Amino acid sequence: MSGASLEFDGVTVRYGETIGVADVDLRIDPGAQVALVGPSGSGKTTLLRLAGAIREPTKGRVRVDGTDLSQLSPKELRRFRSTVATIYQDLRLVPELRVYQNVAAVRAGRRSFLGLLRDLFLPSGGSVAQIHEILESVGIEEKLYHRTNQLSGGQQQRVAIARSLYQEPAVLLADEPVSSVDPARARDVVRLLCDAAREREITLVMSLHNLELARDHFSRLVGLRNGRVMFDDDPSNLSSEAFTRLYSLTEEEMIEQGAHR
Amino acid sequence: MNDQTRNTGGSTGRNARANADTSADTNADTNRERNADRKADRKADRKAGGSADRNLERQGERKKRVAELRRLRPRDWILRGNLVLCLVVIIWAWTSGSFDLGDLTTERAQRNLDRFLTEIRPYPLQGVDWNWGVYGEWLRETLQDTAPRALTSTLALSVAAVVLSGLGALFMAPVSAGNLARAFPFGLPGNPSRLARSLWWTLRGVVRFFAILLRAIPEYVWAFLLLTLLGVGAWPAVLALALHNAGILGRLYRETIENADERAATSQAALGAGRTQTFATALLPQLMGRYLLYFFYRWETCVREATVLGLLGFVSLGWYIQESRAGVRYDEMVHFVLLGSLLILLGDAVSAWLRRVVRESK
Amino acid sequence: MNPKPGSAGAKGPRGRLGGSTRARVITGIFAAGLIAAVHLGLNPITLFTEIRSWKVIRDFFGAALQPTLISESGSELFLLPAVLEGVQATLVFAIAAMSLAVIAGLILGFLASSVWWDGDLVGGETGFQRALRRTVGPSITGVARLFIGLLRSVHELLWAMMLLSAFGLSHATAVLAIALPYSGILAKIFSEMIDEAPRGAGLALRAAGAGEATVLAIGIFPRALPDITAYALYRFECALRSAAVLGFFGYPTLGYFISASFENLYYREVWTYLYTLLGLIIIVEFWSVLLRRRHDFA
Repeated sequence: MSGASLEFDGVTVRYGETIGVADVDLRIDPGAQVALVGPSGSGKTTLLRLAGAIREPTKGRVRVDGTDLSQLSPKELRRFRSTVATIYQDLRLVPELRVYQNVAAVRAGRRSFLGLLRDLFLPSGGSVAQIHEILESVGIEEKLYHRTNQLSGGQQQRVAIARSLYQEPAVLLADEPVSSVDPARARDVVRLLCDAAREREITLVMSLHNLELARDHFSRLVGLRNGRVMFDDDPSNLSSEAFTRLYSLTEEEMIEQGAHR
Repeated sequence: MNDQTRNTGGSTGRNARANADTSADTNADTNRERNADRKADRKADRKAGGSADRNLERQGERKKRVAELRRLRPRDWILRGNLVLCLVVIIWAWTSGSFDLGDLTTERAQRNLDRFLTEIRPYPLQGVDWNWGVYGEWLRETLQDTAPRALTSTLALSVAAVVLSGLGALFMAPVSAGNLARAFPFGLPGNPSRLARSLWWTLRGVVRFFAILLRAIPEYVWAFLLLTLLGVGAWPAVLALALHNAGILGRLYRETIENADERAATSQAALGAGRTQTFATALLPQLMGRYLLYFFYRWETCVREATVLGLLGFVSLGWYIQESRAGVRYDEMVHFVLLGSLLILLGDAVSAWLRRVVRESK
Repeated sequence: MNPKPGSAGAKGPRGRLGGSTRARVITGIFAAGLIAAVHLGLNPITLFTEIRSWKVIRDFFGAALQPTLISESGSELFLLPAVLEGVQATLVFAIAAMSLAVIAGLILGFLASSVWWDGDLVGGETGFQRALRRTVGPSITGVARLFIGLLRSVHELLWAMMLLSAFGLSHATAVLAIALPYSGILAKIFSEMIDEAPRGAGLALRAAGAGEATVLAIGIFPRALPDITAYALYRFECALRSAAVLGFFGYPTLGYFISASFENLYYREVWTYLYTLLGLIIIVEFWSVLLRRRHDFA
């Protein structure tokens, strides 16, 4: 399996009055690695939700490998979702289940309900061995049979990564994967994700709060602010003013923030 | 791609052993080394012409390792033991032969049921077509005099009882709380005499024992006993409800005291305030919201139980239910039961509303 | 994001108002208690003056310190078999009723929750899903809640009375009498627990293409399970008490022996049975605390 291309074509999303993203045009090649940066509320998460077909655009088109997502039937949509893996800031594991069960459950999109129950509770040796192998690539294969809530936060994060890799996706979306991890570990996690995606030729789109990490690990940064694309370039071409502008507050926003306090 | 990933298995055994004691948090560095290892392995693999033999061998090795991990997986024997115990006990209950759900479908039971179903139809409508007008008339006649009295007395019984039990619990909780009822509360420094320590220990134990005795014995049993001991009147019913609920609230209140944020109390006590004063000024205000929530929850069950205590002869709804049953007026009986169910649902709604008011008043 | 003008300023006075709301609630409680007491004619003096015989009271509470295992009937009858019979019947009724009630409670509780038709866990893509959201889901949940309300708002003793009238005396009616209201009680709380379980894992599974059954069974149910277990255990304790009380209706549980001994004025025997019930409750409570602690860790 290799990566898929992503195409946003004049995409706008509105949540009632507020704007998620406004008129975004973006093209991401198969196997490319892109970091989305920008202040919170700038539309990073919305873009990722669009790419995962969790959210429909109010206006415009999202195409994956040339297919318009709005044209998919519900069944095709489910199949499409099974080719997109997402890593969440809050991990979204089932802490009550064991590690291999959490990993195995992610193939639900390609299994019947009963087939999945079998994978979870009466797994074949082959499928567990496969999960063991993936866990090994993130360094926690020893925890294969542990209850997930007995793992440390960092270990659980690795379970989430292993889970997304086990899904064998064409696109890997990561929504602020390291914002609740300490800085030293954050770098390892980002590197792990980038390497894993590169090795498997998966398209990787990661939203990041930490600019330094984004600059060090990605060759393409997309800066978002208020739902609009401010820049889209190689970090070496970007001046420090571009970043300052991305995060600086307008006068209006400063008043708004003051009112909040 | 699958094959590629599978090929990386060669380093498993070694790495696994090396990492056996390292958690993932610390082995990020080894990870990098391992990747290098793997690349080397893969190169070697290609040189050997990707031999299928070696591949199979690795697969086998991995399966062995997985089996070993499965064997060593952390197992919670207490949890498992309890699951087995539950199963055994359920099977025992169903097979011990003291009952059979089939008893409900015997011919006699069926005949009984048929008769019951015809008799719960309002008396004037038995054997004739349903008529809402007649039904309304009958309902008015049956409930007009009785319902208001039955409902108010049931309600009054529950309210009087729960207020009493709330007060009782308020006295029981502080003297049984482990952090308050001791020679030097809240872990304040001091060297209590052996006598003081054992006196407090005894007090706590006695009060706790009483609380558990009170709540282990159901309201209905208390009422049955008190009815004979205290004579007729509302007192036995009120006390029965109050005793049982005081036991329950006493324990719940004690737990809130023991889990309370002690900082305010500690500083109060350190300034020389007595236990009562500390409890009233530093703990009670903080815990009052929770006390009220529990109080209203218990009031709901009090309404439920107050209905039933009438079966023993108190003038609550249960008494009317009992009377109509004794007179084989099943139509009346069912309607009184429905009336009680309405009262309980109403009580729940009021309690839910009051609880919301309390919660939002924080 | 939307600045609410004056929101910071409004907090202060609301906080103070909150304090007086609570004070009003407390005052209301005492007022209601007083009205109720007057209505019932609860006079603290008559409580003592109307007691017919202080001797009976002294005898009864005096017997609390000397429970007996030898029958007081004078026949030197050993009481242990009766105690064991009462314990067995109490346990059997409570366990059988709870096993029915938990199953029914899970099914009803699931139907009465809104996870399976509302919110982001189920898609809104197909016509069927839209119908589920708008009409089918809410109406099934509504009917289930009504049914639950009816089940739990009739006390187990009243269920017992009605079942007795309907089917005649059989042990199965006792089991049903406990199981019916307990199904309702459990279902109500279970549905709240299912609705309040964290939904992240379910959403993640849905984003990976999982169907509704998987999302609910793997993503949501395990997250609600610890709470469900703890609550069922607590209710088991209550079921034991209910089963004991059913003895007053002629079933061979502890209540039967209590009433029989009491009516014969064998107070020491009564206390034996009361302490037995106490022992049962303590054991179950200890057991459920042990299990709950496990669950927090596991």
